[in-house]
Amino acid sequence: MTAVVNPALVVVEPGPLTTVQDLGRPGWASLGVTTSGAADRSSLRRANRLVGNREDAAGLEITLGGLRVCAVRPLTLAVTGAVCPLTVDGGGVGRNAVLELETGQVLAVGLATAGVRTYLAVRGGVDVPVVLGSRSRDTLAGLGPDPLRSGQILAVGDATAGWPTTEVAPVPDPPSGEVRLRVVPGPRQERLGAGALELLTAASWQVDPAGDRVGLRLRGPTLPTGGTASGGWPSEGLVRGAIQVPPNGLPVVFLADHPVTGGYPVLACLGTEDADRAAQLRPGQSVRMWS
Amino acid sequence: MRILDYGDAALLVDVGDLDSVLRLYELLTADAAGAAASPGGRRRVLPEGVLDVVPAETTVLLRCDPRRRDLAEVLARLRRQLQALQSDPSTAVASRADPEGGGGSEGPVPPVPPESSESSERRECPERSEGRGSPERRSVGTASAGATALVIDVRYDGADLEEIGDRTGLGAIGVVAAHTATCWRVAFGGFVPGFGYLVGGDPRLVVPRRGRPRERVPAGAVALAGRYCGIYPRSSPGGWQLLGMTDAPLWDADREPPALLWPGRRVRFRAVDR
Repeated sequence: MTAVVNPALVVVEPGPLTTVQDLGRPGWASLGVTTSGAADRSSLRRANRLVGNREDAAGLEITLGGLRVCAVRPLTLAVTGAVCPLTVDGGGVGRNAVLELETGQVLAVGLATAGVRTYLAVRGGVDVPVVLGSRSRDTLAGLGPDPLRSGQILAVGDATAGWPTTEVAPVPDPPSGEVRLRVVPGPRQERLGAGALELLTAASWQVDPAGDRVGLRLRGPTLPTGGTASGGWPSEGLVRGAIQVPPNGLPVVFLADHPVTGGYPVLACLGTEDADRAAQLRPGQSVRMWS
Repeated sequence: MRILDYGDAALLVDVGDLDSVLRLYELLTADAAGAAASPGGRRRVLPEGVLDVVPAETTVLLRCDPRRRDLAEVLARLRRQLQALQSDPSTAVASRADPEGGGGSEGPVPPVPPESSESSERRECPERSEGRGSPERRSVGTASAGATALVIDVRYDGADLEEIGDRTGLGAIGVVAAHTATCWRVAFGGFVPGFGYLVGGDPRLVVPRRGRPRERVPAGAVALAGRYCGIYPRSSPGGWQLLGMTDAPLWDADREPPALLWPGRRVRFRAVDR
């Protein structure tokens, strides 16, 4: 085990899945490496702004809550994203606000009640080894630091940008009811037939439980596949937010760890902000698309 | 060439076939000094505002930075650049310059119809070894390392070698001879980091995927499927037909570039005993 320089936090409980994420590693897709990075980038950016970090500093992405960390020295933090009870040594504290931890204090992120992914930024940024220009964990390729485990010590770096300029950043919480997402036409809209985009935007969709950082499956009416289901559709490049129609006609929405190419036609694509909102959709939640 | 909108910040350029994909990829990612000859990954020069250029079977994806204030201008400029490439006969139909055998000729090269691309692949394939401690060897007159073919040493003892020999009628020895005879080229990546889809093989080596994929294919397995050859950079499930094994270091995230195989790189296979 190597010594951690500048230790800041001890992981008491990692929860079901907590990973280190920044804004990812663009530029390597032609070698088969996806961008990865925070699934909900706007929430990570907001957490970083609150603590006076650079927007691309690495933080923690906490899936469905359940994280407890102990401060090894005084720290400035902020928590954004999914709604979850937040306590310091048992006393409730606010999300989307600057938090100060004294040495020995424990920050607990409870189970998420709306949204999926909570982000924790610490002033200076979480410092783990950089792989291909990023500290992000790519869960598909297994690149970057392993998910957090109990007893792990995390260091902070110097990814600051001045001092915090605001104490709170009020934003709407991820909704627990139906979510509306804006789509723009994808490259294979024509190939899939005129009715495909119409049906995508007319139907009500439910989020399948089998979702992860790679993507979400949606349940609902069967979309036309325009004859592409018989196989032989060439693989082509994917982007975050791409909505692909596999042979079963049920759309797949790709998130941060999407493969660099996919073998089925892309019908539509989420707008950049809406790709962030899609990363907060819970299993069973209702979604409608509009364009 | 069809330029297709892809969300807010990307374009998908459908050029219809692999040769055109490789030409467009080189044209879009090369700089004036001939970066087409430089290694893959970050060292390639991407167009202004573009984060990733992703070649695939019939398309090239151009992914831009969605946060740029001048995103609309970046996309418009790319469209103009693509349209200019399309209408310029010296770039639209032939590679910018022949990095292989041309000896530095910069003029337009006559178009190569797909049927005869085989012979152009064979035309010249200077070598650079990257097997187990093999000495590096460069052919005289080759301008740069990027233009030489990487030599990959293979132990042809794969589980499907006999079957491929039977299926193709070449026999195991004939399969090895055919596989080592041509100059392959990395067409595009995908699947996992460091995996390259290689083309340019003997047309008799076209074989289907296995009916039932293997649960585990070892790292270093050299395999065939369709017209492609590929090498598994890590142990994974896989449905390709296994020819043999190599020790070539296909992927190392701490190396620059991290992948041994990048789009456009030439590869020759060499049979070794162990």
